[in-house]
Amino acid sequence: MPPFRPKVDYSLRPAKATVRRMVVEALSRLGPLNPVGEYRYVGMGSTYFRDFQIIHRRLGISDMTTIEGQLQAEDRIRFNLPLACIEIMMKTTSDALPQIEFEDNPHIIWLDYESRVDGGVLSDIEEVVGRCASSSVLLVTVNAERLEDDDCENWLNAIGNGRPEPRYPRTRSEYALLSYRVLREQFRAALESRNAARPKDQHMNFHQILHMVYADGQQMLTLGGALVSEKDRNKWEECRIEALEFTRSNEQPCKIKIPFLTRREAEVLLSALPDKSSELNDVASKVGITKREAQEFAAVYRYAPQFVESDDW
Amino acid sequence: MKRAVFRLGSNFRVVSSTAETQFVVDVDVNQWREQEGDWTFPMEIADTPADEAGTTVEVWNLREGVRELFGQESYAQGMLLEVADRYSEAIKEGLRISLNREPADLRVHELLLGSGIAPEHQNEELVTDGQRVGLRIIAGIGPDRRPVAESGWYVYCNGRLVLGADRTALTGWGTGEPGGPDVPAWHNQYARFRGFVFFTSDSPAALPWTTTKTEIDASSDVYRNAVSRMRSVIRRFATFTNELDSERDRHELGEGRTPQHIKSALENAQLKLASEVPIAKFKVPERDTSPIPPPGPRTTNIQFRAESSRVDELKEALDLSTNRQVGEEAFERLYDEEIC
Repeated sequence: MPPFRPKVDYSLRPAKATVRRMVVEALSRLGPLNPVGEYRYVGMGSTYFRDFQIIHRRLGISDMTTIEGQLQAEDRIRFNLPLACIEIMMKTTSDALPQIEFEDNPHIIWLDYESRVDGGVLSDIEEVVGRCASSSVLLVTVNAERLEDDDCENWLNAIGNGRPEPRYPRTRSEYALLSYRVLREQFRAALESRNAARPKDQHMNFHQILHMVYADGQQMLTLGGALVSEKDRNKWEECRIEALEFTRSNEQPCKIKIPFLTRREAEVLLSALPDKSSELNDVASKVGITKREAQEFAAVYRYAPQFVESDDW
Repeated sequence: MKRAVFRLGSNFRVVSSTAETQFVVDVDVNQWREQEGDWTFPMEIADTPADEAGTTVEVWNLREGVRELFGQESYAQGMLLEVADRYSEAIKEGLRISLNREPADLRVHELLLGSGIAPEHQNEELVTDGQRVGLRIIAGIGPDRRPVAESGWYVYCNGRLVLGADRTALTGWGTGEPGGPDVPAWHNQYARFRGFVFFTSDSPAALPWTTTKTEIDASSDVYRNAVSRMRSVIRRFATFTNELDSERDRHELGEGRTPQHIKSALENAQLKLASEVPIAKFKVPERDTSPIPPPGPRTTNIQFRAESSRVDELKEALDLSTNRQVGEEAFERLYDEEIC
């Protein structure tokens, strides 16, 4: 096995950072289902653990497990562990997930893959959806970048001939849509088996919360939602997560795009946000910012990070 | 017994002997049925002692359905399992029952329990078309050194074995078509896997079998619910075998200096009948993950010969029990004197 080498500097991925903050805001609304700080978080921290840090700080969750499949990176992962409350499972997700007792209490699980959706990802979804306690949240992130030639053919074969439309994706959005539909179908199928031969009041439902597409380079897709039993339906409705503007319960993704703006430009736009009086476009055009950039900024300004150059190493 | 043999075929003969006497009842059921009024069986008693004491019941001219059932390979296997199940208490006490010379063996139903190992045991109540169906899943690690053919899932409907030692997609093994979720296909590595699934219902039509009651109806909602649970158990079992492999690899890498928690649990756990296993999740001990300890100083062997009687004298004098200890003592004393 080649030595482990981080491929991306996660601290410098603005779109991913934005998604992470949006996820945290959505999760902070789960209170009516389960006291947020009492959830158990299961993620894939790698060496950065950004999600673990923000989820611990903002949500007060301190029962945390990271799944680390890069066995050769164990020393480095342990060295980078930022908090004492993170338990490490040095295993692939396919080995780790079956061992986690999802049925005991509500979990927030973020399967943050760098790879594409394939049989392994679908198996992981089946494992979580099939067993998790009511009020759990499952988020799945996969690579949904466009592919060429053999790579495309191999991937299409891996997801099978029974795959949904668009069966032969060409554009970036078609790749994202196909990835979304394959994931979504597995959520449906896993729930269907779980609910089979069960009385209606014990059925588990999936309420989609997030459908995000973004790129800090490679296009990524995040699908997420809550698994809530029929008897907890009222509690779910009290959460009113859908009131958050970036949530999506359908096939139309929320596309996260961070416009490149200078600090001064951003301040001008912020003076017109939130855009209750519909003046944003005018304010933007006065300083030469396009309507499109202004709208992109409006969608992310509460979440997008501002990076500053601080110092040399 | 009369009713049982009538249902099997139209001729039967019972021969029963003790050391002193024997009797024979030989009946052609069709002729006997024609008799008017007299429903007794003719019985011949002989005073000549038989070669061997015991009772034999023979039935021939088998009924159509019976002949078919006996022709099925799985039938004998299922019957043997059922016999083992039903007479497990008597077999434990020493009764021997065999079918086609193959003994009914409780070991097929045995699973490892204890020392950190627990078999999976779920007990659920499902409902289909308003009818209740009990679902019990018991699975885990079977005994070592048993035929590989015993590995797999055993599926029962109201006590009758419908699928035996199944290792196919029907019981959740392996990924079916591409596009579905990955599940490990059965492999020799899983030879010790044993899984038992019991469906029970007061309404047999609600059970996941076909109308002939000889095959599983994989499309029934009860069965689909069960299979998704079975797949999860298979994944956990696969993780266990992967962990066992990693433990062995690390042990070799560290030249025996790392503990083998899983291996020793496998050696120390007790075998229990599936029916005696408590409700629990499938569990095996975590393997050791601490850093491999560095090797100790290199060692070498010294061999020398000495007169036996003198070695024994030293053993006696120093209260040592082996020659090796005498040699080690000799080395330590010399080292103390000459080096430190």
